[in-house]
Amino acid sequence: MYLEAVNLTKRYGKFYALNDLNVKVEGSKCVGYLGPNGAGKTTTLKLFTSLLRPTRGEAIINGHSVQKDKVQALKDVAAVVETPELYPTFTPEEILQMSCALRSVNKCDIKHALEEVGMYEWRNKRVGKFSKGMKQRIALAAALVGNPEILILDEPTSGMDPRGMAEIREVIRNMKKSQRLIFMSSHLLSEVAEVCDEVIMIDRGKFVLHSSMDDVIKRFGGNSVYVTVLEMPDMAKIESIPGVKSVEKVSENRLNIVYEPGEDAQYRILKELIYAGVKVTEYNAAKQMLENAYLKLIGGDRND
Amino acid sequence: MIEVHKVLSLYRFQILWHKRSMALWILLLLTLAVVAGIIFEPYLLNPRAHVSVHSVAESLSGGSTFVILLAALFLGSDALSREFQRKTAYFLLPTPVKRVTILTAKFLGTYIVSGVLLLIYFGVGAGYMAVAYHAVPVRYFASMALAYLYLASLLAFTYMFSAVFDSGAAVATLIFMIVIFGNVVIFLVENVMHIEPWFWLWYGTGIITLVYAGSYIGDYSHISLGPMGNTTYNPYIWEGILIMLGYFIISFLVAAWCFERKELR
Repeated sequence: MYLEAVNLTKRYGKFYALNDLNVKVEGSKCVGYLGPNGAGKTTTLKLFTSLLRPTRGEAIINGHSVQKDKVQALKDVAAVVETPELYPTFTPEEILQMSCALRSVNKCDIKHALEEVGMYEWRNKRVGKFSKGMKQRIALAAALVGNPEILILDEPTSGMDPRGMAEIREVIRNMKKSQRLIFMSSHLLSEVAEVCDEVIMIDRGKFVLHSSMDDVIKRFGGNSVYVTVLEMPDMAKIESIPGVKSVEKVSENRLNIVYEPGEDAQYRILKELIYAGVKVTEYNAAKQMLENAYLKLIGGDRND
Repeated sequence: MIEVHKVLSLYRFQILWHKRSMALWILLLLTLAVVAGIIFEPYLLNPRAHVSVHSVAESLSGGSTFVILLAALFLGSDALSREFQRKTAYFLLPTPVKRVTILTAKFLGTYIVSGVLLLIYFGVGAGYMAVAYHAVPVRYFASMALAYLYLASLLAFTYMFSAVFDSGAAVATLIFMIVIFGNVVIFLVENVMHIEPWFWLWYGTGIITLVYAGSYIGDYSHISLGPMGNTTYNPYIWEGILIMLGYFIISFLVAAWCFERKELR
């Protein structure tokens, strides 16, 4: 299973929303698609789901061009693009029945799909009065009901409260367990770092980076880790931990520790910090490294 | 090509959509009001008047064109545009189904719902004639069949605009304007320029009531009124059928083309 963009271009007048994108994602994994607002993320997903027609190039899914053979290309694909509105007078059960009919699914396990997103008890209520988060979960259930190989998700937690975001992330993590390729755009770096295995970055419609999360950490993280603490410890004490090269206080309760290469050192430092009584509340390299990569490649002058 | 099996599994959702909409119930009330108005109007105007069954049937057939117009405005005008306006297209379109299949399924659903309303209209009319006159003219059923053809052509014509515009209200207004002002323009074309308006859908729909003409009047009649006179063209039955079929086919193809090319920016 794979998605491939070949010279994929979308132009509106003189403005290139997407310019010669060439990228291929393959296998059972989660790929995060990052970029600032207006970078071309949603445009790409719309091109892959035939909601837009490319000016040039092709979007290919499992060997079939979305533009030339939509039915075959999207056969094993489910997409949730731009938080779709659902038919307000339909119930979740009817929405999922419709999704099955659209995907020609013979064995339609609506109960399982609704349970997976925690909406089974709402199955007979009309969706018109549901919150955005509930609608998003129904949309995800509608995507899951056909048991697709490939899932295309456009900012799945956008506009949700923290609880809703956590719930959707949990749903996506569960989706990953079922041998699927998840291609997910997001404006939340931490979300991508938390859920995804690979990351693609675009900016102003142009490709910037495609790399595994581990590579991003290696390339952009160097050998440093960000540590959040309850109380600021004695810096000299931390510098004395074997393997630590330098310590920098980045905020009131945050430290940046540069250490000698190797994951062993990273583990040893955490162990020593705890042993030394430092009240660590967060110790995460990946999230920060992704942010470093993002700022280095795309720049910090714009949001997300 | 249209995927027939998918059309057959999808059209019921369009029916469900209409069934749960307020518009359908308003339309049902209007349909009953129109049929009641046509049945009781002669009695209200002149209680002692004797109205023949033939005349009642012809009035009912004429009234059906109004019900069909209402059905197109209420059910057809936002059938596609609403998908874009309310963003439900984001759920409907990124699926392994050709857009022409989705369009056909939606059209079929709307046609069935509108057809049921038309059946109620003609059914109430036939019931009244059966009770009051103990007879229903055979031509009433011929007219009914032609009304169903008109329904298909007008719905396709409405769907065509619905595939272009994002607002159902805009489509309904446009269709209404076309019917009102278009008929005035065509009347002038017919009378002043003496051109048979074979290209005009509402010219073709004249056969819905012309089937009652005992000695069928043929192509046109001319009444001398001063220097200009008045020429009224009448379509033959086959002409009316061809015009309606032509509108149906062309409108449906244009709707499919527009819907296929519509982008969700």
